[in-house]
Amino acid sequence: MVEKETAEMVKFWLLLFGSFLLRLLLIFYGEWQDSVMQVKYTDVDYFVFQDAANFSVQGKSPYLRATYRYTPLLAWMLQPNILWNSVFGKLLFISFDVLTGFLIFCLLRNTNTVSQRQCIVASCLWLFNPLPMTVSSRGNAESIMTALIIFCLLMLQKGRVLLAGCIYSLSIHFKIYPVVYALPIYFYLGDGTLITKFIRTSDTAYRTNLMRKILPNKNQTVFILSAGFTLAVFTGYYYYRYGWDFLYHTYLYHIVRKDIRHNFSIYFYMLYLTTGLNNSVILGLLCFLPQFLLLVVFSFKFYRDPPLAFFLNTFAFVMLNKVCTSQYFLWYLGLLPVIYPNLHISFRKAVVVLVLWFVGQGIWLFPAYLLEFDGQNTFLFIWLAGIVFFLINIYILLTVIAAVSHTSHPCWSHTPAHNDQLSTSLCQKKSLKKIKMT
Amino acid sequence: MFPTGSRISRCMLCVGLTIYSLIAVVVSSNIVATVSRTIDKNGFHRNLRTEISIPRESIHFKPSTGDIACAVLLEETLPSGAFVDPYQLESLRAFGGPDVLCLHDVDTEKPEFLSQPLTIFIFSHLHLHEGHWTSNVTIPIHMRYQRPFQRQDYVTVTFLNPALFLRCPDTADTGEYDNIEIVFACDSMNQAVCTWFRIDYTSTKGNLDVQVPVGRLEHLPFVIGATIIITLLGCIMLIYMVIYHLPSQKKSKDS
Repeated sequence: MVEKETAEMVKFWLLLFGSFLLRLLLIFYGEWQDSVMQVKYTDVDYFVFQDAANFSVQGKSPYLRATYRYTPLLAWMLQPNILWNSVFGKLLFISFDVLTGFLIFCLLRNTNTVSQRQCIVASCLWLFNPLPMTVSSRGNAESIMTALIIFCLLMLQKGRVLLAGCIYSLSIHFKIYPVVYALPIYFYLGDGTLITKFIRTSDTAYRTNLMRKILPNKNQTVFILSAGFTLAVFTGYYYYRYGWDFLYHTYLYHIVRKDIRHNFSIYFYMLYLTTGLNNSVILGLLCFLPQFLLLVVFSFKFYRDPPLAFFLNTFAFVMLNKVCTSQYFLWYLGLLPVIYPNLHISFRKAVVVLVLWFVGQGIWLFPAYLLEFDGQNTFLFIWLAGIVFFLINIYILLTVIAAVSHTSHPCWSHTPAHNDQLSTSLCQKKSLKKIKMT
Repeated sequence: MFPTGSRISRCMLCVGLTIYSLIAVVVSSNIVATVSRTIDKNGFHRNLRTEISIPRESIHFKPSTGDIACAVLLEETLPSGAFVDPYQLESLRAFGGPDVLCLHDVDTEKPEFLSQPLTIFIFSHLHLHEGHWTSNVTIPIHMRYQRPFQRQDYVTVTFLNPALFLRCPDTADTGEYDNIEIVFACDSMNQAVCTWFRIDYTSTKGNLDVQVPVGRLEHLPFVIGATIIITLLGCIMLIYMVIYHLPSQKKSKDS
């Protein structure tokens, strides 16, 4: 048994190495394409990073580069691009990409419901997925995000709350969207009894009880303090160095961003048609409401399984965001391998869902292409395609939720972060029940 | 890199431009060029092609030097509905792309109604071709989103004709051409200044028009209603499913 496990581990290391080599090959291919063709393999943003890194080397503000809307930390990290070789950033990004695959493996191995073999398969879903492979080798920094998020999950799983807080706020510092994980993390670090009682009773005695449950316990306090401190240090330091430019481009721009150009969002045409009209505030709230409701409901319902809560929250956030480009899809794709082994879904249905997801994008891409490259007025069709894609996304969410509902094992890890007796016993009860059933 | 170059040199050029308007003296021109312009491709990403042709005999050179290729400068004012991406131009230059100087930062994301016209400077060399000094420059331009309109699928964006300047190393100091004279950057590197002469040209076409698709305001009530209803219904369905129809929830209630 042990020998078999060691053999599997050797295989896994080889797979990790192989996936890294494949990405290296893609980088080499990209360098070749860039040198001979006008259409570049390298992502447009990579040149933005590089220009920003150049300013960073000169001790200037990276925000001198127009459309640089990231943390100065990224420009600082990519300084070897200027000092050594412009391929450095891509090497860094594919490393984070492979690290993501490794962390997915680690995260699943600590879950008692998944065999080692399944862990490796899930990890390979990421390592050999053409999408993240091309994205990171083209020089897109999303892999840093996926690695940070999964590392944060791993730290939560291991009960390293302080570190989890630091990593979590670092991820928010890079891109703001991980704020949608705040609620599930907070509930997860509680005693795990929030929702069962919440649904059962509604008397005043319970309400005071609920207040007690919502107020932070030790773990939650540690998390809030470490996350708050880390974020404050980064924000404070960079604000001191780069001032308003930093605050605007790193945080505010992403919140107030109003891009009316066509994108996957169901809201796109509505927001475009209402630009300059006065009732935008009410509409803004109406757009925000579904997103907010879903995040709250998913957080309450699934916080005991943080990877699932993270996935559902990200998916709902992207699906209902006012701006949505294909880069956003990576945010939830990184979490898919982590929840996949726990989904009770037939292979056939998984394929159907996957095909639908691609078809939804294809239906959208066609009128979008006609508008952008052929100058035809296809706004209405793009909007209709956005609705179709939205409905497909709803269907995907329903499928995922139905697939997890069959697992009678709400306990995520065999070493729960919280040493709460009740929650541990809850896990044991469930496990026993499962054994009886089988 | 190029458009983000030192702010001091930018200021210097601003001064250069004001000198241009101050010392401008209108004198009739000896050289008459022909300019023909087209816009290729459809949609939001297009190519603005400018062909300049000057009869060979209208530029006189000293016998000692013979023919020397002159340089031309196009001062192009793009309408607020269009823009060039300085970073794209910079990367195209490595592949023999056009030599373009852009003195202002360009916001590539703003719609037309929040943008200003953009002045760019295109540098090019003349080549001798079938008895004419010719130059052919193509710059990639991008269209901006327009404000939605009532009962109208397209809005017209008009490209005005550029101002044309000439610089010949041999003729510059002879004073042979007493046209409008400006002191401006020699090329897009923006490192040195040269003297340019404004020359007249005849345009084979008038101004160029581009049709840009726009959203239709009469879709508005329908689009708002359907979008809000569909998103809200989708959410309510998901929430209903999560709260009332999860088997595991029922089980955990029982236990």
